[in-house]
Amino acid sequence: MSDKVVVTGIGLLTANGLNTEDVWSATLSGRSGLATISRFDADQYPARIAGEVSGFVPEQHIPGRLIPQTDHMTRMALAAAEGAVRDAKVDLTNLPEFGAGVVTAATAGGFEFGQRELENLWSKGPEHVSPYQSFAWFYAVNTGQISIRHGLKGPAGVLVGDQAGGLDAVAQARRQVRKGLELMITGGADSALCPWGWVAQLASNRISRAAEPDRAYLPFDGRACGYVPGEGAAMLVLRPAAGRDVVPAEAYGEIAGHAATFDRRSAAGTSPALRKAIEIALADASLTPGEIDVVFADGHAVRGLDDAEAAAVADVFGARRVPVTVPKTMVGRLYSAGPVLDLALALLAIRDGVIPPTVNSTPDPDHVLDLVLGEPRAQQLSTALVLARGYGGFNSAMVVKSMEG
Amino acid sequence: MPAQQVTVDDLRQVLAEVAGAPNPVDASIGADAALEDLGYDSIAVLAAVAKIERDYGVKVDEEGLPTAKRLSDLVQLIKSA
Repeated sequence: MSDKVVVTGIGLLTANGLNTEDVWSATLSGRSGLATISRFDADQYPARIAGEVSGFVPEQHIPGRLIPQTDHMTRMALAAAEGAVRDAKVDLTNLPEFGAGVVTAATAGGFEFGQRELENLWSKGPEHVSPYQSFAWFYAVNTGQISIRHGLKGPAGVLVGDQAGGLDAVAQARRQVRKGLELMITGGADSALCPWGWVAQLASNRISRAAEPDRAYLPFDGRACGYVPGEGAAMLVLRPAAGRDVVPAEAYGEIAGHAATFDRRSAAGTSPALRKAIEIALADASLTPGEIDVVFADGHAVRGLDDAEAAAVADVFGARRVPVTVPKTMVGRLYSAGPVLDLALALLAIRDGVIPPTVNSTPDPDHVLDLVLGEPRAQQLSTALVLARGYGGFNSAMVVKSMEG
Repeated sequence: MPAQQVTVDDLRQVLAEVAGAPNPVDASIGADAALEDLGYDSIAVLAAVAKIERDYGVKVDEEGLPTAKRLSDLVQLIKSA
């Protein structure tokens, strides 16, 4: 029996689209969602560009009773999870009682909710703090709310590893399916676009301070000046290829390989650990570098980090030997949701035979990476590698593969 | 308004405000509707009681909260605060 774990449902919510097909068509046409922050008055802050989700009406996606107890990022998580379940065309009530679970990743928690309640605490007193603060700002809250909403009584968990955590959550969901689970909902959701969350992000010194949205996030470009934070949610439904009612031919593809590594302190700024993650993920997928058709890069747009990533990719694949893209240039870094969005885009790229572009960046023509710039590139694809790095030294790599592959 | 005059409708309003709209239940049940059936768990009750305590300047007996299963039970508890 096959132990393949396949993706049967995708749910996305980003600054350039409120559902999967909208995000995909916006991404192929290079439509950016980066703009000056509107959620709060950012004039007095050194950085002012973000990838805000606009036009999202939570009441259309979740019951009214969940509104007072959820942060914005949890509402997006619930909407994306619902989209993924719908896309998977699965009747959850048909699964064994403990046969389905949830594992998500989180980077920030519910900052907007937390800021409001902490303001209540300091300005009015403890009796004015919502009791929902007890869980609404936790890392684990999205996993909990998704499992309650969909009645999933199987294993539940949360991983925290900044951007890399998104891939690690999907890997953990794959482990659970391999252990016998019929279905896992997995992915990430993050948003910290309130003054408190914004200041917390600024502390990393990696946030772009550019004033113009189309000059703000330029990975692998000599003008790289840091990244633009985004917000959003990306959720997947994972099933065993041999599972109940699963039609493998209808799946988006297989989660074929994964590896996570951690950087040691290094004066040189190089990242042998990122290269190692790529190599182990390829080995886990039983693929050689020559069999990878496209790389979705982490693309921090921080000089040293870009150089290290470009070197790691060139070391494994050879200089300009594999197409590389950073579609997150259109929506910003979504933290835990970022690489899950990339996984989804990679699977859609395989489905449609087209690599989504990197926008705004213009690296030197002799750059060591073959970046797909400006326009999508039509190409038959059966495999993709997604890279993600997290603040503090997390590296994660994941390989997806078409069902025919 | 003193807490003694709090009605079931007042409580419904506070619950909806702090914990969201209730699940639909048979309207004929009225004040005897179970908090659980309305979709309000213990945290929702805590949130509502905290607001009533602030608004009316009273202190509701917390020991009695776990046994308040229906809207009418909770109103009784508030009135005796």
